[in-house]
Amino acid sequence: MKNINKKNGPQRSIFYLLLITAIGLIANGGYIFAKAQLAQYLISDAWDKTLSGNTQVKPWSWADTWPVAKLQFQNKAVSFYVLNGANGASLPFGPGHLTGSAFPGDSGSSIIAGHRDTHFELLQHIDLDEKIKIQTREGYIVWYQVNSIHIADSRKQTLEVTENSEKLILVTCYPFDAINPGGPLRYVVTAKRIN
Amino acid sequence: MTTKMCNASDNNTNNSQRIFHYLLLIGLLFYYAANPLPASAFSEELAVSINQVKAGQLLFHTESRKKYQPALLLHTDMNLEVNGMVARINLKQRFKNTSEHWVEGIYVFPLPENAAVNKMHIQIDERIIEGKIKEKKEAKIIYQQARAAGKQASLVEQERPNLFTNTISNIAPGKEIIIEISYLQNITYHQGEFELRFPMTITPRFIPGKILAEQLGDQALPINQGNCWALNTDQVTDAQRITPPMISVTNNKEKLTNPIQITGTINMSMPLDMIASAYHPITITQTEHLYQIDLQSTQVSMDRDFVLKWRPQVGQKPKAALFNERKSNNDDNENYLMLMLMPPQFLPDENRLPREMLFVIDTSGSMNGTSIRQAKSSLSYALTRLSEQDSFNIIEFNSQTQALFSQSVMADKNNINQAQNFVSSLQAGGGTEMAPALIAALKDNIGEGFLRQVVFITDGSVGNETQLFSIIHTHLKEARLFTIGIGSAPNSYFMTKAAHFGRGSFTYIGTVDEVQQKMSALFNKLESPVLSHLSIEWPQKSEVYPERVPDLYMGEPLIVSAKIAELKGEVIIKGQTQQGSWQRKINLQQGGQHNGISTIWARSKISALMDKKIDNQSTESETKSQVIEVALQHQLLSKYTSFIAVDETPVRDNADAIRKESVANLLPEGQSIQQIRKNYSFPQTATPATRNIIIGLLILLLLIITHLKKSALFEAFRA
Repeated sequence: MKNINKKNGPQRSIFYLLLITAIGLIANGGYIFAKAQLAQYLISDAWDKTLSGNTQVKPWSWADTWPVAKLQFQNKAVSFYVLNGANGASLPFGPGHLTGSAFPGDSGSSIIAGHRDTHFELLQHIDLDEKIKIQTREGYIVWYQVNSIHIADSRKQTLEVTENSEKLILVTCYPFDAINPGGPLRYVVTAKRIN
Repeated sequence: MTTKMCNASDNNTNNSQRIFHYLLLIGLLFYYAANPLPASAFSEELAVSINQVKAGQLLFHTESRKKYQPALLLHTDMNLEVNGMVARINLKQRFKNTSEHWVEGIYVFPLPENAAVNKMHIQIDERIIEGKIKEKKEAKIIYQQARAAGKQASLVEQERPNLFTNTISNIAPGKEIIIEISYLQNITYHQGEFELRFPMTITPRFIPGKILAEQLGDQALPINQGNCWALNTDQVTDAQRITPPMISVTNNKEKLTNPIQITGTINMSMPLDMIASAYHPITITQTEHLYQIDLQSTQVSMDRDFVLKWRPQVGQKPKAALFNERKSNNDDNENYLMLMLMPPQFLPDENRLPREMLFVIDTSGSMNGTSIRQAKSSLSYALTRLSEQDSFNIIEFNSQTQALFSQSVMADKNNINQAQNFVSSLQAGGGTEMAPALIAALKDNIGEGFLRQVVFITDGSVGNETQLFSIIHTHLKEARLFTIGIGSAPNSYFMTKAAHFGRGSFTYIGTVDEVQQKMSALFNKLESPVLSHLSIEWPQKSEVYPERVPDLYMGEPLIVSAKIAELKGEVIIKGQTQQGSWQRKINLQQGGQHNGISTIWARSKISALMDKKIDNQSTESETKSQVIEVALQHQLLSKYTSFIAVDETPVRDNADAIRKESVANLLPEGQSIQQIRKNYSFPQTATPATRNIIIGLLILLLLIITHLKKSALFEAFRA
């Protein structure tokens, strides 16, 4: 009996360690989803300031990103504030504009990426010919229409775009219900400008 | 008791198993924690290449609110003076500020890769302010102080051996500043012809690699605006500095964009048979042995290389030439000399080894237009020159590398036909990922009894040259690499250095008309025996560059620069061919006095020092201090030293703002109306949220199960 009790000591601490880890992981997952939702509310203020002529308005003081466009889907009730850069500093809070690609509304191809399990989860419900509305930093409204949806393998392909056409390219991970992040496939929705 | 014992031991096993499982899980968790979660490991890759579209198509939307209006105009005067084997070129860059605000001008411009830039001055009205050579950092600080103090200044820096930046501060509204830059260079002599090449624009370079975080501007601009169209990457850490804006040539004959005037003289001290400019019509006026060169039209646009060739009369062809220059340095007399020697011509060898020819062809976006036609036609011609005992393969590359055959095949009729079909189907588009193609061509072991020759057809428009040289150096083994430069403005630094590290040679093809002649000359060279194991014995202590004399192919002269204590005695040059050994003696007292020989020597030394860094014989800091020493002594521009000139009278009031304006380079001819292509790698677009929740839940489940099991076991134990 004593023997077993002795063994229970380290077992118990492992038990609590695992319990805390489990709760931590679940909380972290929930936090990611909550953050994705809540941040968009916080960004709306920054977006209003941007529209009234300010540039690079950070939604909160320690942010490394700022809104650069507002994205709306014709048949969906949601809208998103698109953030500058498509990286770890922006994507948790909103879809991100890929640095180096044209800004929405300017000439050239504009690329916006989003997480497949938060904001861009809805891309799986987008159909061909569906219209997408973008409000630019200057307040202009630009309309696009989806003309292609395809799946790309990021191990073999790059996103090659030409600069002489005005396109909007939305990118997210694929498949939508995969568990592990970091998979090679991407869901690519291309829309051409119509106004 | 036995049963109990058994139970107890079972329980023990269960416990250790359980601990093992916990540990496994913890390990798994640590694994995930240690591996940065892919969601935040974002990689963004950007590269721009050029692709032709239908004539008349506008590059940018006419409604575009950011229409580019150049505020700073450039007019260049170029004067060349050829004396023997050395040319001095004077460049006058006139910058005119047509705007109403103060301007800081930035102009990224090409020069020949062996240019020894040793003079620079600013001319403001009639005043001349001489430029001084300083260490790069120091020059930059002086420039920044002058700029802040409202003084006019010019800073000329080297980005690549063939790419330079001129930054000019405080150009007054409506005013003009002239910067004069002067350099020396070797004339090349090949197959009985002299040649001088002057690059006038650059082909936009492909920038491979992942974009580095945290950089100035943080935004790559459209290709025809601003200062840079690419961001720095892990492979090209200075991408922002080598991607100046590019614009199309306008068809307006009255008002050329970036016009240049070219004048010059050639004095070889011998009568010439022919003088020709390859791509720009010229007029020639002769006064004895002095030939005056002028452009037929007073000025041309800087949209392609200017190439001048001349040939001595038959019987006058030089077999050897020796020039020297005496310099005093701290009471010491130093003698510099340049030796050119034409080895005897060897006929093509009947019993040559069978070859394994590997053709590597660049089909990236920058090759689009006339370039890909030249490349395809060159390759197609090359295939006709293979004989049946040769083997071959074709490797095509853009963003990806693709070989025609999985390994080299014999050059029989069938295979050649298949190859010709493959060549005619090639199209240009995509990035310029050169490294995998080079590795593919060099990696396999060479078949026994075969001689591997790699023919590399490209415009060399890449920004990661050094990385590629290292690859060639590492993988070359017994193979030889021959580069063929294609297009109106190929990156000749890449071409010549790649051939140098590949121990082959460089051929330049500027138009489709030249393909037949140039390729035929190259194949004659490939089929002829090589003069190898060259050694030079000097009568006294000397410092000679290049340190190791390369093998000489047919029609190529030996050219070395040396520093020597006294011009006395004889040099003995020895070499080997398949037909036997060859030797030549030259008396050092024969040579003629020639200015600039010491500068050419210093430039060769810098080049040799930089090569040592590439093949890892010396470190960056060693190279830097050695290069700085030579560069300061000989007043040479280099990677580590820059020219700075400051006019001490301030002109701009601090209250007046100053704007940065870049001078655009012209898109090379054949790429006049462009479509711009960018490549991005896909970002990571999933969060670990779902996975974390699932793992969390699984652990919880596991704990509950083990807990229940444990209670059950306890009970079993009690019982």
